[in-house]
Amino acid sequence: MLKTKHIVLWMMVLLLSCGMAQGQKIALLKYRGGGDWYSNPTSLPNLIAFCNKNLGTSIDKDPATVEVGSADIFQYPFIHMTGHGNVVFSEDEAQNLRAYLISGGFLHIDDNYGLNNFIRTQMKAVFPELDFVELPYNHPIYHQKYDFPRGLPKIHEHDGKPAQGFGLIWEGRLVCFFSYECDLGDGWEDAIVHGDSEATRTKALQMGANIIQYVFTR
Amino acid sequence: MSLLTQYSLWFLPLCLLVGAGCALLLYYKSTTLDLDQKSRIIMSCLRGLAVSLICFLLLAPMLKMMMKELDKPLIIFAVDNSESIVLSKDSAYYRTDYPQQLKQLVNSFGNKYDVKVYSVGEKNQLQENDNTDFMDFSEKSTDLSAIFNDVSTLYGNRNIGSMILLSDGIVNSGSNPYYKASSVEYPVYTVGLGSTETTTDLFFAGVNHNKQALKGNYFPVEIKVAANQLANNNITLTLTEGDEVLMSKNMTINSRKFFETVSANLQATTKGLHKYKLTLTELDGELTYVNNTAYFYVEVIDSREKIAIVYNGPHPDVAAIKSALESAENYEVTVLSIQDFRASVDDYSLIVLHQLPSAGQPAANLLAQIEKTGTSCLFIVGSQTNLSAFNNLNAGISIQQNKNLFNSAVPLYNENFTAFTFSEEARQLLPKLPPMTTIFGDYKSMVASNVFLYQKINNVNTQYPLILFNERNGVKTGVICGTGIWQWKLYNYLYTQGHREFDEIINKIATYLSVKADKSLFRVSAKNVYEEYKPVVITAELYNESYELVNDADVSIVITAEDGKKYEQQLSKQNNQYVLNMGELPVGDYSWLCSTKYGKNSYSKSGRFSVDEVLIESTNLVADHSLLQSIATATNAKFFLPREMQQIEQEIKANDNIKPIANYSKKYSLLLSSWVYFACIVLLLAVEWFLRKWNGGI
Repeated sequence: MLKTKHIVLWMMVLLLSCGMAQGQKIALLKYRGGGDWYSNPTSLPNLIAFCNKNLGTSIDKDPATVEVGSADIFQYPFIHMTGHGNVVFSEDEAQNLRAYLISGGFLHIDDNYGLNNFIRTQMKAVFPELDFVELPYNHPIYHQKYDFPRGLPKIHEHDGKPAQGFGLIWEGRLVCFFSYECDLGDGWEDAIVHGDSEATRTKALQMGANIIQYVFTR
Repeated sequence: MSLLTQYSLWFLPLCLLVGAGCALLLYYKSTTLDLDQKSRIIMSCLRGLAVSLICFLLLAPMLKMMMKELDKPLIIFAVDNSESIVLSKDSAYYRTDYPQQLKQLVNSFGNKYDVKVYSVGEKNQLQENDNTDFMDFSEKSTDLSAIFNDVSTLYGNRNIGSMILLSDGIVNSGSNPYYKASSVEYPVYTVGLGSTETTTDLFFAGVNHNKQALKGNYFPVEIKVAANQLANNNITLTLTEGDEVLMSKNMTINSRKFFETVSANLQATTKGLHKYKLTLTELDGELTYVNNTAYFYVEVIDSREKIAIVYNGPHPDVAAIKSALESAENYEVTVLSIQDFRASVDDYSLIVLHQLPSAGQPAANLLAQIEKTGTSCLFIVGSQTNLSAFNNLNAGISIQQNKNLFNSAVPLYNENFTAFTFSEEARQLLPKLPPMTTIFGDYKSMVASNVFLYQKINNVNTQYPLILFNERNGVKTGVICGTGIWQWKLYNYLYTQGHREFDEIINKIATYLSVKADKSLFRVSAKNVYEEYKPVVITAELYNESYELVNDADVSIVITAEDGKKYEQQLSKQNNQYVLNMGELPVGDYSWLCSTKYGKNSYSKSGRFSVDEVLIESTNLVADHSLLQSIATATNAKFFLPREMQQIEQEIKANDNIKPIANYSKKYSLLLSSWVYFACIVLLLAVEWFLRKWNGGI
């Protein structure tokens, strides 16, 4: 009798604890300062669907939203950041982000036009000892499942400048990738939002998939 | 303080009444005694009191008391005991007067405070308050952040009054103490030791090199040379191995603050451990010549073992496991999607299969090759794994999933696990690690399988394995029954500011799986390089013919230093093994010969090791007082120079926040439990009896 009770109790414990999402979650960074961290709402879900279909990943279809200073940041292997405007990290937030990136995390910053000046100053607060360096065309991030021999593809035209991919490298490891003048996130969005051509959207998604694959398997 | 009984307090006068009644009856009613008035009064009072007291005690009275406990403010001295302090200009002061001044300050707090003295360096250690002998400035590195962690762990629930941090502010390990200090609630008074003036010195600021190199290959070495206030001197940097000069480079110091990185490419010619020496010209006026010499070691190996990580789809576990395997430099790691796997399995000593076989990727070809060649594998089972295909592989466990559900499981160490040992630090970290996603269902492990970690689900210790090993026909297989191990790496950093424990666990697993069984009966393990000031530990194992560990025989070792000095020792028997702890040995190269006789057979093994000098403390000798000042400011305290340190006592005594805290607690005590009242009763009756005798009564 006691044994049956024990087993029933056991099953209850197990049933209560299971049923959680088995996929890997990735997250969108929510920051302060006034910039629109929430722009391009369909971009991450589209990128996830593309990766799950073409790379064989099992990423949860709903991305999470995580604040810069939150301890939850350590739950996500990949964090995406976008926007057009001002970004402010407090000292605690900068420390939290720094610990996350050094510990093994990854931040992809996508310049949705106008983020450049703000984010460079703020990342300097996170890594005073590092500068953004332009990644050469032979960097593995451009040569994963999809080959980009000329580096970052140009997705959305703003100032006629070339698309550039910058990185912060901590002890030999790329901890932050900054896609500048490229607007990958626009290309990931539903076709109806920006009217990008199918070919452009595919290029953007392929480059996004390359970033995910690089971060997950390097 | 108040009195309680479970009866009404109106019983109290009744007790007195009963006492008075007894006394009256005895001394005023009965007339057998011939007494004068005075004795009668005294004796009746005695009897009355005794009876009243007995009646009163019958009520089982209790005393309620408010106990006041004073928690004296803790004053914690954190005394930097690192080498850099005496490598400064004022070394004489720090060796003689400074310890006395510190002792005076420690004693000045008297018994109104609870004073604890910790020495700080590589590790923190509690010292006796009256003894300054520990201040020998021998610590080889400085971590000022750890003391804040230790204080909050040890004294978190105490009244921490203040910390007094005496240091030169030169930190070369751990995290930035400023961030630790700014989150504590007590003031941190700082005393700035050392000299902030740039010292006249030429020194090695660091050497970057690989720990291993492949025979025949060239390997790069990066040498950082720095000099202060020595402009316009010509210097020579020499790199030698034994007597052979491998590189010599002349440089001119062209500025007051000189820094240059010199690169060298060395060839790995012969197999074994190579010791390289770097020297810089000794210039007049330098503070110390200690840091004009540096050594580094490179082990040249024939080939590096290869490990392939093959995945179904990109997953952060893959990157985390790869980084851990690469950290030890023992393995050449290849990461491949199963679609791209073309190589021959023979090339690899271990194959890690992440969520393979899966529904889309049966990996039949690869699995057949593995089966045929008997290659070791490590399976990582997750939501993408095709469980029925996996179960057919006889990997040591079969898993039946229930309704496509998953669990969240944290690791639980199996105390009976013996396949390999790992460090105490890693073991302490295990219970703190975040959960992995495991399959909810039935687990059936094979009898022979060896469980390393179990799953702990919702705080319940289960018998479901999380990581287990299995050996079948001499082929070793491991299974990690869950995904999400990548998060262990991140949390490892959160707890220890490094990845050492995660790297260790992954590498131990890989080594255990990839090493072909050692068939020799006598095995000795010693490191190639021991760090100076760390004990030299050598272990040995002896097997009987049926490969059972034994330690009946004695095992002896002879360690010979470069200068011919011999150390002869017996290894001590611990559990089934043999262990030798030589303690610290001087820097240099040693060879060893370990031998034993078991039954009719004699066995011996030999090898070499080096004790490596630790240079980290002498590379930066300029004290960082601004760090100490900002710590003091951030905690509302003050910064002092060593000669002003006695003022801290006044500061702390004047600080209204540093006061004892009174804790009140209620305490009940049964009066019956005290012997005092019985003594009173006996005394009262004894006196009365004596008086009666005196007066001729009975």
